[in-house]
Amino acid sequence: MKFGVFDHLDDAGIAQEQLFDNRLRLVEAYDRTGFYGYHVAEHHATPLGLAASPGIYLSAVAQHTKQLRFGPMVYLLPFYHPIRLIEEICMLDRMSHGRFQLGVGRGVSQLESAAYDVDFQKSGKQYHEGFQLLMKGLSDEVLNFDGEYYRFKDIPMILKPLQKPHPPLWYGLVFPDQATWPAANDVNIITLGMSDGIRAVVDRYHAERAKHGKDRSTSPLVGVTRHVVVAKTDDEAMKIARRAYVKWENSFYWLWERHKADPHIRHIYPGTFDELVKIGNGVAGSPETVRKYIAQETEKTDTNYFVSWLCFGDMAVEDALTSTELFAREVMPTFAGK
Amino acid sequence: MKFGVFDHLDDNKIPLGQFYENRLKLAEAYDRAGFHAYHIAEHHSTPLGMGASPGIFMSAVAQRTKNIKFGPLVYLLPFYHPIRLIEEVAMLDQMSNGRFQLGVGRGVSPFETKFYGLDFAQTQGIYHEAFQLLMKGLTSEELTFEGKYFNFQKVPMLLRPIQKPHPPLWYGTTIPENTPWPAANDVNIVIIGLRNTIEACVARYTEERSRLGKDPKTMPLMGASKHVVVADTDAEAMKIARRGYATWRDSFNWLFRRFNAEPRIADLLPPTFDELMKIGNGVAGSPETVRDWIKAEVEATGINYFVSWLAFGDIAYEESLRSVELYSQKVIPALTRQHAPA
Repeated sequence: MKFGVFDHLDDAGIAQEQLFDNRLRLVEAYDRTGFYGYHVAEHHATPLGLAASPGIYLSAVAQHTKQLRFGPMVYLLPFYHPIRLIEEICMLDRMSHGRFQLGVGRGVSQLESAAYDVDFQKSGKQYHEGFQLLMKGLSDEVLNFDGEYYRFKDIPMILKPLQKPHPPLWYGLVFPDQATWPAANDVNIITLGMSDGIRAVVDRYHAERAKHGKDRSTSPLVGVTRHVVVAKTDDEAMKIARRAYVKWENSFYWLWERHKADPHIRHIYPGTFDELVKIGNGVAGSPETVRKYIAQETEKTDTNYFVSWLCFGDMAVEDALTSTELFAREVMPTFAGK
Repeated sequence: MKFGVFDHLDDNKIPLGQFYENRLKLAEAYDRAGFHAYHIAEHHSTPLGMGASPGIFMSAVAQRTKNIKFGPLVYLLPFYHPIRLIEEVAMLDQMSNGRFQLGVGRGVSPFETKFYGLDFAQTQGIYHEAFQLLMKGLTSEELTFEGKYFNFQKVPMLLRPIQKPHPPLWYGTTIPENTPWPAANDVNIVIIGLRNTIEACVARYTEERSRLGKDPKTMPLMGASKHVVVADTDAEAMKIARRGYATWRDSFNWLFRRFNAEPRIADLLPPTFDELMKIGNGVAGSPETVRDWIKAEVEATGINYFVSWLAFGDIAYEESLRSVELYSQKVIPALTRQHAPA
C-alpha cells in the first residue's frame, strides 16, 4: 500500500506568486514525510489549474525535493509539440535524478481543448499517435515517424531520459473499458469517483493483466484519488474542508459555467463537502476517522495506492501542512507492509 | 555598466544530471556575485543546447537563486504553442518574484527549424504573429486573435506575470538594420559580432531612440556577448579556454556538419581560441587582462552591458566557478568604479 498526493493547483484566492510558494512548501513536506508520488493536473484557461504548463512547476518541485517521485497527471499530449514534450520529459527526469513519472492522456475537457485550438473530435486519434511518437522519441537515437498527425524524418534525439527505456507511465480513467491498454502495457493507473465504479475498473485491470499472463504480485500501482483533510478532531477537519471545498468546487465548474455547459459530474463532485462525504467520495476527520475511511475504501476498491488531494481551494497553507503531517505520522504507518 | 552571463547549455561531456546540477550551482554563484542577468539559449536537435526546453531549466534557476534576473535569449517563438508560451512566461515570472526577462526571436538556424518540423520560409511571419499574440495574451483577461497562423477565440487568460504590463523584452542581433524595432519598443539588445559591428549597432540603436524623443536616462541595456575565461594567470586562463573552446566549437558545428554546411557566422568563430582572441571576439586571462580587455571594448563600442559566456565546452565546474569568483571580486568592481554614474 502506497500513498500519493494529487494537486490541481487550483485558485486559492491569493496572489499567484503566493500560491506557488505555498505549494512548494507543501511539496517539501510531502517529500520529507515519505509520500510515494506527487501528481499534478494539467488544465488550461480555467482557475481549476494554475500550473497550466505543469513542466515549469514540476521543475521547481524537483529542486525542492529529494525522494518524492512526481509527474503530470496527466500531460495532455495533443496540447504539445511532440519534440518539446520529449525534451521536457528528458530534462525533468535528468534534473530530478530519475524521479519523473510520465502521466499521459488526451484531455477530457472539450472546452479546454477549444480554448487551446485543439480539435476535440480528432484529439483521441492524435493522442494515440502522439503516444507512439513519445515512446519512440524517448528511446531512439534518430527519430523517424510517419503518421497522420505527426511526421518526422531523421531527427537527432540529443536528450534521453535517465529512466530507461522511459519513465514509468501513468494513466487516468473512469470506465472499465479504458483499463485494457494500461493493463497490457504495465501502466500505473489512478481513478476517481464512487467506490463500486472504481472496483469495476480495478477488477477489469487485473483481469486484463491476467490475460497477458501478468501476476498480481507484479501489479503496477492502482490508485484511487479523493479529497482528504486531517486535523486533530473531526469537527476541525470538516470546518476546514467545508470552506476550502466551496472555492475548489467553484474553480472546478468555472469554465463550464462560463459556457453555460454542464459536465454532468455533480453526482461525483456535489455542491458541498458534506454531500461529498455522504457519497463516500472524500473524508475530513481526525487521524482515526481518516484511517478507518482509507481502510474501508481500500477494501472496497482493491486499490494499492491511495492518492489524497491534501490541498485544495482556499485552504490555509498551515492547515494543509498540519493535515500532511498528521496523515504521514498517524495514518500512513497503519498501512505499512499491507 | 552592468554585467550578465550567457549560456548555450552546450554539451559538457559529463552525464546530463550532473551537467544540469553544475550549471545550477554556477547560477547560484552568478547570483551571489551580483550579475545582472543569466541568459539561456534555446536550441533543438544539437549538442550545442542541452536545455532544449529552456523554461524547464529556468524554473530550476528561479528556485536556486534570489536576486539575479534570468530568461531565454531567446525564446524561439515559432517553436511554441502561443498559449503555452504565455502560460510559461507568467508562471516563471510569478515563481521568481518578478525576475523573468523575456527574450524573443524567430530562430536563425534553418536546420533546427527543419528538425522541429517547421518551414523556415514561414517562420519570420509566424514570429511576428506569435509576438503580437504574446503581448496581447500577457496583458488581456480574455484573448481573441485571428491571424494567418493562429486563431484563438475568447480564451480566458488566468495566469498573469508579476511584471506589468509584461517582463522586460530582449532581442538578439548581428546587424544595425535590426536595431530600429527594439529601439522603438524599449527592447534590450544583445549583439553578436566584432567591435565594429557592435559599435554600429549601438550607434544606430541610440540614434533611433533619440529620433523618437526617448529619454537617454531610460536607455535599455545594449550588450555585447563574448567567451570569457578568468583565471589566476593569463597562461592558466588560455589553457582552460583553448580546451573548452575546442569542445564548444565542435558542438556549435555539429548540426552544420550534418548538413555539410557552414554557419552564417563562421568568420566570427575561428577554429582556435587563440584566433578568436586575435579577432577580438573573446578573452581569457588574469583578472587584470580581462578587466582591461572589457574596458577597451566598452569604450570602443558604447555598450552599457557586457555579457560573458563563462561556462562552455568541457570547462570543468571548478574552473568556471573560479572564473566567476575572480570576475566578481576583481573585474566587476574595477569596471564599475571607473564607470560610476555621474
